[in-house]
Amino acid sequence: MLNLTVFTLALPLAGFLILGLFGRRLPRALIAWIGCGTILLAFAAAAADFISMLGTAQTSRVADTTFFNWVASGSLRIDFGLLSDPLSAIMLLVVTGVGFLIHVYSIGYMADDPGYWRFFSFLNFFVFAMALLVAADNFLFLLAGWAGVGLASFLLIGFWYTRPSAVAAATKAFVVNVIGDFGLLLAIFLLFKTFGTLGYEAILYGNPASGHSCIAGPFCPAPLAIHPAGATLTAIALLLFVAAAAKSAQLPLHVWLPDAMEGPTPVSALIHAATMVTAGVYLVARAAPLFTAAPGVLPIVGGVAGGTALFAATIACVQTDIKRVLAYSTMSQLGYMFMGEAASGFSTGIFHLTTHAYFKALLFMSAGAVIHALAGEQDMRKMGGLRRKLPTTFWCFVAGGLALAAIFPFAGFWSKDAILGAILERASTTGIGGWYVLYAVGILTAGLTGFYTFRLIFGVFLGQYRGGEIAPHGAEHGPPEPAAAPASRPNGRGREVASRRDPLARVHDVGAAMRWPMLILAVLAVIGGFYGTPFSNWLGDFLAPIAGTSPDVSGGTLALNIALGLAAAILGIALAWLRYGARQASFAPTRNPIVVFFENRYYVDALYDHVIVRPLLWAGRLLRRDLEGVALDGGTRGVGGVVGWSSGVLRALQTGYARNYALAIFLGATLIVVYYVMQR
Amino acid sequence: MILASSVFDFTPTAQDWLRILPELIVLGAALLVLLADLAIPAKGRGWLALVGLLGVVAAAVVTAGMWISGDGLTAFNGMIASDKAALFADLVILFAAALGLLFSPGYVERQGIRQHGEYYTLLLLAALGMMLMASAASLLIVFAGLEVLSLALYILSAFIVARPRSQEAGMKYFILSSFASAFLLYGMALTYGATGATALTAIHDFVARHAAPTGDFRPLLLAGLGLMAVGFCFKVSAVPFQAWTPDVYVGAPTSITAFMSVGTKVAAFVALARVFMVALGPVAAAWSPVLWAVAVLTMIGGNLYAVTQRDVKRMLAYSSVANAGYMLVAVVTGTQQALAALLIYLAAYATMNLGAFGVVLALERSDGLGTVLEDFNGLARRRRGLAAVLAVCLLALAGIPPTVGFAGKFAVFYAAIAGGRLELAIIGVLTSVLGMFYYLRVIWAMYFVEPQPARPAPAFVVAPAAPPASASAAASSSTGGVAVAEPRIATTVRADPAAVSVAETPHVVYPGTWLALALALIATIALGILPGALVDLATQAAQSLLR
Repeated sequence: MLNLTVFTLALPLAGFLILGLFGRRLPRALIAWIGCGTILLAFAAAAADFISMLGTAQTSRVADTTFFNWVASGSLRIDFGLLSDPLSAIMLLVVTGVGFLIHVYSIGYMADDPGYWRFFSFLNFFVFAMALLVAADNFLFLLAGWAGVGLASFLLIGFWYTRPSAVAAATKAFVVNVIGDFGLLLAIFLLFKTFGTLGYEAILYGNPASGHSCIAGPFCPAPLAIHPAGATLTAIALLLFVAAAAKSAQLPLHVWLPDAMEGPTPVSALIHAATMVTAGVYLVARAAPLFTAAPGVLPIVGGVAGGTALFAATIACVQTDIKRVLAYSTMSQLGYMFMGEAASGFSTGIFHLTTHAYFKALLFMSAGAVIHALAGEQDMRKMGGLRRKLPTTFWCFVAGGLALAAIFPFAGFWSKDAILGAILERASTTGIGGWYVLYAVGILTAGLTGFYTFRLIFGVFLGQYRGGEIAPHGAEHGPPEPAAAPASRPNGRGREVASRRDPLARVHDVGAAMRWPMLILAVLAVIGGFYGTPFSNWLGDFLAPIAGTSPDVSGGTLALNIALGLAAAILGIALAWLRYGARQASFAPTRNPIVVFFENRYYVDALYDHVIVRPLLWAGRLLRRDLEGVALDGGTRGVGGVVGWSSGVLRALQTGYARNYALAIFLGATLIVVYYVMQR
Repeated sequence: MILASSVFDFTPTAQDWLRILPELIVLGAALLVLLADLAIPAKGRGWLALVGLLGVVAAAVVTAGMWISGDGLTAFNGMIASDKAALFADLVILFAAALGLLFSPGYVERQGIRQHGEYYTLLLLAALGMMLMASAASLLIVFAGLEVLSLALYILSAFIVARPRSQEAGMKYFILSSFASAFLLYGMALTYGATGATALTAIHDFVARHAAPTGDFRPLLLAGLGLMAVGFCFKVSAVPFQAWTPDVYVGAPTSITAFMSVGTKVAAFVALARVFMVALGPVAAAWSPVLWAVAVLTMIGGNLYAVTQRDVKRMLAYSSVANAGYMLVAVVTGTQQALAALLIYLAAYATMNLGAFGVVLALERSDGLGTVLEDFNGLARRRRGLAAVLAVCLLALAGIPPTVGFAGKFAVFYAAIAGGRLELAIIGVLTSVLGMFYYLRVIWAMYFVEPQPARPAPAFVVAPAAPPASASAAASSSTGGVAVAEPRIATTVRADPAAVSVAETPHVVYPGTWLALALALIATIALGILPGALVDLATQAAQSLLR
């Protein structure tokens, strides 16, 4: 079996280096060719792997190539190796495939941006890091990719660094991601301590062909004699889930995702919808044997995921920034993916991951097209009636919206149905009430999904236009690159020019570079679910060696599930039609306390600010002012000034603050001595 | 006493001298620099650095040779060790010294230092003291090495005559370090009183035979190791003995700061490992709670202090405090794996910290300004090379893969967990998250923030009280005495906000500085991607120390 994964990594990395080092001097056309070409070739390599995998017997679809030995010393031995197996093959296809389309889209979207080369080099770096994440054959290099993805996200969210909000959002994202990174790091330490190795094969799968054994999990053909305590496995799985929750924006580590919409829209499409946030879903599926073997973890995953799905969906119903609606929707859909995994349907989570990548990337691209057309406007209160002006965008939006709302036969229908079916099956086989509750949450969220998706579509495209004159040129772009003048970003706010003929006269639909990726994704959003229907579940069978078989749903359960899911979604859409479609949509402020509660995002951000951020800053300031500044420093700054102009260096020093330092040393020494005295 | 009579009979053999050959070469180089200073005309004094550098490289080559074919025994009647741990420490110290020497010529000239001969001689002598301290097999040599390195560093810290802050740094360092040395010496005396030996092996045998089995530690021994702990904690700048660190690091010439922040740590930590982890290893129960508390305080305090700093040099000083905390985690853990991890971390810290201070040094202006966070705004557009090196080094300090900093943190925390110190690993990991914040803030400023328009000198820099920036710039370049290729940038008038900002540094970065930065950068990345060799060497060194 082929393993060309190294090219899937090396090409984007090469693109990143070339553009990063020389991009400034290259012509734009060449930048675009390098940026997109490397990703297309990476996709070709991933596709070649995939095709050769299809030609291999199902039991031997694993190719693991070791490239070098990272560390070998005593018991510590870690290799850098790349794995090609069904799970990584699917992930690589999604990452490079959707990634390539977004690169092409960016050619059009970022055409006027002065940071063109920077943007493409960061995007290439992102694809490299994500490919490393999914192709690594052990947990350590998974972590390397994991951290790299976080870094890329930081760079891209903060791409328009002149906006303070973008800077704040990037910082927030990074901090939350780092919490996840360290959760992963601790999990890795524990894994290593428990198993003495970090390779997937040794810990999770074993290798029947080479007779290797593995340690954990139900899919393990020949378990070793090591039986770690259940508590250890639970700790490892929970730490892995902390990492997954941070990357995939699950409660309570979700705060960064909505703010991450400060980045350019292609970034939102690529990172914060289609690929990066799915890393957590991937991790759980990858470690499926561990999660299954660890007592008590999957119900926790399910609870967190269900909570997130409902929480995010309610907030999405009241947002007015079109990108934020989609951001909360992403959170909610990620919740679905984890719900499926929690019900032991690990392949259903991956299935929804793939379909979600198509339709959410499509929705973000369409939203980007609207924003582009309206010169940076993102507020749907100032939109409306754009259907005739932006026909392509409208139909793409509708296709993506129907897929998101899970309407038959769009892609999202099949995958959401698979997840809910797995939960229902789980509930009826175990008979535990909690699973029924989770299922009810899933159905309720499906209804809310239909509502907020079509509230968005009706609000943007139907009715009368509610905004003002559109500025002649440009979208949400950064300042000129060698920033000589203070940033004067051409955006929607500069439209005092009053000419009230047709405010939308200058609005035009997308150009070719943006249109084609959208059309391809629109097709995928329609047909992309057919490889996982309950009648012939090709994807589930393909992933079975890695992710296990999903609960088998059929007969009455299947029919009931489809009926309930569709009914909820259609009800949601109908409500949206009554409220926003049938008559002129109104987004007037409301005093309804529930809506206000949702609008304030359940006050979670405010809570974090008061409970964590402010006390930390306060402690830091206190330390600096009262300990360093006064007690220990004796006011270096003040005294230092005196020292400067009186030149009485020695005198000032000896009678001044050096004494205080010595006092600190003395106190420390006394403490230690007292400790020993107390001991006796 | 048998010991005393054997001392008096002792005659050094050729083997004894061979085992301290690296130290001898460095000493020779120091003396040679002093002589050459007389012979070389004033204009060519920069070449003195080359003389020192050749000595350092020769010493490193000899050290490497001893690693391969040395006998690893002690010299001079068990006073100085030449085991692999000593050689490992020597190599790191020599690396730091070499980079310090490469950084120096450009910086020394810009800062108007004229006593080149003394400067380079003292730098080499400090390196000699560090090597001695790291190879000490007896408490006496620990102290002798410490004094050699400290005396040289007191003077070097105060070396910029025209800058009050530098004078202040030297004076403060001298007073406080003497104070701490007194604790250390007193602790050594009490330990000698309790065990009857100064040789580390003899102390080890004594406590293993008498104290450890009964668990009944004599007060004298407890007092001795408590006071020694204070002395060592001062040297490695652990909280609450860290107060001198930021002032000295900021005030001293930055080339010296870069060198001493690494070299002193290596010397003090290896000596600490020899005394506590090895010699007093059998009575770890007596000292590990104290060092445990110090480690926790240092990790938390160092990171919290660093978060609030606005001056990058000062931030790096506190970051070195925080890093001392991570290294103490390894000391407290006390296993052989932890010892190897400590050595890995020391080497990692050497590369990334030298790189970071090197960039700060290249940016610092003749009046000592130019290191505040605002001065780094938009640096990536003015000085792409420097910004890139600093970014990589800060990412390494933050512990992000695939840099050597990640390998170091991984080794230390993993050793802590494997050695049953889960709580220290968790605290370490959590405080590292805090660390991300202040390292990234600098990267952020360099790459994402617009350079600010001209503004007066920052208020809290210890410049003459608050005269206009123009006066201070003029004053320093006149007292500095050396013509500096630097226009009067600080004199920019507010009337023209688009003019050069205070942060602008038009001076040339010397080729030596570039070479040193390139070395640090390559080491930071290469050892991160392929840390195998480093781990191997450190493991061998740890084995040699624990036999």
